[in-house]
Amino acid sequence: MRHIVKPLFRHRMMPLLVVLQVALACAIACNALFLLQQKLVPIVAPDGVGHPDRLIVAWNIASRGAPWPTSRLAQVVAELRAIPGVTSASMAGSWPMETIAQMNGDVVSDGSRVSGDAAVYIGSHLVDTLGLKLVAGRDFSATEEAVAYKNIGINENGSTIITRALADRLFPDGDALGRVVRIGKDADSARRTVVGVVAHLMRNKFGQDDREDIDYSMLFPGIPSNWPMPVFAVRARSAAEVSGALKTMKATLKRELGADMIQGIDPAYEMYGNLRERALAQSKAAVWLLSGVSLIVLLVTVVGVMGLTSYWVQQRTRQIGIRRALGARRASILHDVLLENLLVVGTGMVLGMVMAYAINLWLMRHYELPRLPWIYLPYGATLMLLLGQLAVLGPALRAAAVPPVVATRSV
Amino acid sequence: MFGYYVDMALRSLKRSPVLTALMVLAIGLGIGASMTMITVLHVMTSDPLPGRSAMLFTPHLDPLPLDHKHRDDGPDPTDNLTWPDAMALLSAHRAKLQAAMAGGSLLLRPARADLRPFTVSGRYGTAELFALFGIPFEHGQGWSSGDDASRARVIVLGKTLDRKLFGSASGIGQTVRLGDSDFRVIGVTADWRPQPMFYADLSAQSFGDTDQFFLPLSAAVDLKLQINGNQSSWSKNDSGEPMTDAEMTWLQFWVQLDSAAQVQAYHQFLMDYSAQQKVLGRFQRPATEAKLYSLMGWLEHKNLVPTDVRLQLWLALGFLVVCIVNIVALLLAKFLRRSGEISVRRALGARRRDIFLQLGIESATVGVAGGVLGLLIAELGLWSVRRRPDDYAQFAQMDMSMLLGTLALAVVASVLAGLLPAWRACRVQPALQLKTL
Repeated sequence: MRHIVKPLFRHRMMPLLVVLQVALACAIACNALFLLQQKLVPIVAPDGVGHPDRLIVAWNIASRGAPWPTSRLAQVVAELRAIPGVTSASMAGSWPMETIAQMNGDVVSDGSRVSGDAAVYIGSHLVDTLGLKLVAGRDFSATEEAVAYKNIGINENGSTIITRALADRLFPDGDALGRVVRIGKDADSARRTVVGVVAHLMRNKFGQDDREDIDYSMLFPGIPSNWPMPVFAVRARSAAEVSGALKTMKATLKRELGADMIQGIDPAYEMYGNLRERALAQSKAAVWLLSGVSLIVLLVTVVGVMGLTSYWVQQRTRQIGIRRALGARRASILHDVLLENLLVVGTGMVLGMVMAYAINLWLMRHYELPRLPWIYLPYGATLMLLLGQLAVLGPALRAAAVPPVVATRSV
Repeated sequence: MFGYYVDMALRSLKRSPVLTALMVLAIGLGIGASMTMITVLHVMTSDPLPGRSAMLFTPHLDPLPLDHKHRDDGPDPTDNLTWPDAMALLSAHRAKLQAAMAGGSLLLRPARADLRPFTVSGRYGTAELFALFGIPFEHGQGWSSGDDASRARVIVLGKTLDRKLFGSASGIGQTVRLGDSDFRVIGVTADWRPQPMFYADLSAQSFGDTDQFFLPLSAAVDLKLQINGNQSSWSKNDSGEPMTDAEMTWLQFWVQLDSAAQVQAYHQFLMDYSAQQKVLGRFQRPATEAKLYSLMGWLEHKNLVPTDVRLQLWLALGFLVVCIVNIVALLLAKFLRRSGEISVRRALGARRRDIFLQLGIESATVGVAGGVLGLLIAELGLWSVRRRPDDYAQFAQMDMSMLLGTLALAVVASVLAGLLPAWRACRVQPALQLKTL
C-alpha cells in the first residue's frame, strides 16, 4: 500500500486533477440525476386510466350566457351513451391530463384529522368511462349518480371514491371504506363517505410542488351544475370503433349544444392518449436533456481520467520494468495500478458527495427543491468507482504488459 | 513568430487526432450547452423596448383592506389598478405621457364572406398609449382624448389583421364588427411586438402573440367587453358594475418620465395620492405602499424566468466547468509528454515565456475549434428549445452579440484551461530531460 500512496504525494498534480474531475462529475451528475428522477415521476406514475386509445375526450366547450342546466347535460350524456360501439359516456367538470379547469382542495379525514391536497373530479359514470380499477368497495349507485347539486358540488355532502394512495394517506390504519372525508378544514365543510377505492388516478396538475401527491384524487358522482366548461368523454368498446364513435359524438354535441356555444371557440376532440402525451411533453423534454447531460458529464470524465492515467503509466514505464525485473508479476502490476486509481477516485468521490450535498442545499434554498435522498450516495459511489476502474483498465493492462527488459535499456 | 506558433500548434494537434477531437468535442459540448441556456435567459430578460424603456414607469398602489389575505399561489391583486385610481392618475396628468390599458380577446365577424368569425386579442387603452410606447403607424392615427371622453367606437388595427381583413388596401374608414358592436377603423399600426409584453398583465401571458387591435378603454367599459388577465376583487357586495368598481383591480398603467427629478416627483405624487385616499377612508394601508417601478425593474419584480430555465442554466454552466477541468487534464498530459521536445527548444535558447506562448497558442487553437463546434451545438440546442411547448420558447434565437459571446467564451475558457498545463510544462528542467532522450 505504501508504495502506491507515496508517489501520489510526490507528484501531486496528476492525482489532484483526477480527484477534481471525479468530484465535479459526481456533484453535477448526482444533482442532474436527482432532478431527472423528479421529472420522471409524472411520466412513470400510473395514471389509472385503462385503454387510453379508446377514450375520446371533448373539451373547450363554452356556453354562451348561463351554463347549461344539468338536465340538459344529462340528456346529452344519455345520447352519447346510445352511440353504437360506445360502452360508457361521461360529463365532468375537469379531466385528467387537461388543465384548462382544475378542482383541488385540502381534504381531511374525519377521524384522524390527517389532511392532504387532492384533485377532485366531479362527473357522471367516471369509473367506467375512465376505465379505473376498483380495488375495494363499489362504484357509485344509480341513486348517487342521479344527485342534483345546488352548485358545482364540491361543497356538498354525499359519497366519494378515492385513490388507494389518498386512502393510505388519510386513513393510515387501514380500511377507508365507510369512513368520512371532509372537503376543507372548516367545521362546516362538506362531508363525503368513501364508498370505493380505485388503484390509481392521476391529478390533472403536476407542478413543482406536488410530486408526492400526484396520485391523490377523488371522484364525486353526478353532473356538476352551474359549471361553464363541461368536458364530455366516451369510451369505445374497441379501438376499431373509435373513429365511428368520434364522428357521431361530434355530430351529437354540435346538434345538441352547438347553437348555445360561444362562436369562435370550437370544441376540441382528442384521444386521451394524445392528451396525455401533450401534458407530459415538457417533462419528457426535460428528462431527455437531463439524462443527456448526465451521460456526457460521465463520459467526458472517463475520457479525461483515461488520458491522465495513460500518461501517468507511460511516465513510469521504466520503474515498472525494474519492478518486473526484480520479480513482480503482471497481476501485481495490474493490481497496483487499479488500486491506485481506486484510491484517487475514492477521494474524489467523497469530495464529490460533499459538493453534491452543498449544491443541493443551495438549490433547496433558492429553488425550493427537496433534499437529495441519501440513497443516491452508495449508488453514485459505486457507479463512479466502476467508471474509474473502467477508465484505468486500458492503461493498467498496458502497464502490466511492460516487459522486464526495458529496465536494462537506456539507463 | 505568431504564425510559426500557430503552425506548430496545428502540427502538434494533427499528431494526435483522437485526443484533439476529444478536446474540441468536450469544449464544444460545454460551450454549446452553456450558450443555449445563456441565450434563452438573454432573450427572456432582454429589453423589450430598447431606447424607450428607460423613460417608462409603472405606478402601483395598494388599495387592499388591512384584513385581506393574499394566497401565495395566486396573482397579486396590487399588480393592477382599479378603475377609479387609474382615472384619477390619468386626469392628474402629472407625467409627460400616461395611459391606462387592459387586454381583451374578442370575436371578430368579418364582412368578407370567405372568412369565418375568429377570435383576436388586442388592447383597450387611453389616447396617449401610442405616443407613450412609440407605436409606429402605417396609415391614419390613434384616437384623441376627446374620443376617450365620448367613448367613441373607433379602432386601430395591427398590420397583420388589417391585411387579413381588407387585403392590400388599408381599411381606414371601414367598420369592423367586434363582439356585438361596430368600430370605425381610424389607423393601422406597423408591426410592433415587444417581447416580453411588459405592458400586459404578466401573470396572464408574458410572451407570445402581440396585440392585433387597439380601441378606447372607455368604449370597452361602456360595452362591457371581455378582459384578459387577472381581475382581483375583494368587494363584499356585488355592485353589478365590476369594471368601474373601486374594489376590483384589472388595469395596467404606464407613464413616461424623462428625468430622475420627474421620477422622484411622480413617486411623491403617488404617496400623496395614497395618503389622501387613506384620509378619505378608501385606502387602509400606509402611503409608502405606493410604488413606482421602471420598466426593467418591473420585469425583474415579476420574475418571468421559470425555475426550470434557471436550473438548466446552472446545470449547463456546471457542465462547462466539468469540460474545462477535463481539458486541463488532457492538455497537461499532452504537454508533459512533449517534455523532451520542450527541453530541446529550451537548450537551444528559447525562453520560458516563448514556450508558454507556444503552448498557450496551441490551447487557444483548440478553443477556437471548440467555439465553432459550440456554435453549431448551441444552434441545435436552441432549435430543440424552440420545439418546447412553453410560450417563451419560440423567441429563443441567437443574435450577433450572443454569437460573438460564444466564441469569446470558448477562447477564454480554453486559454484558461491551457494556463496551468503550459505553466507546468515550461518549468520542465531541460538538463534532466535531455539526459533521458
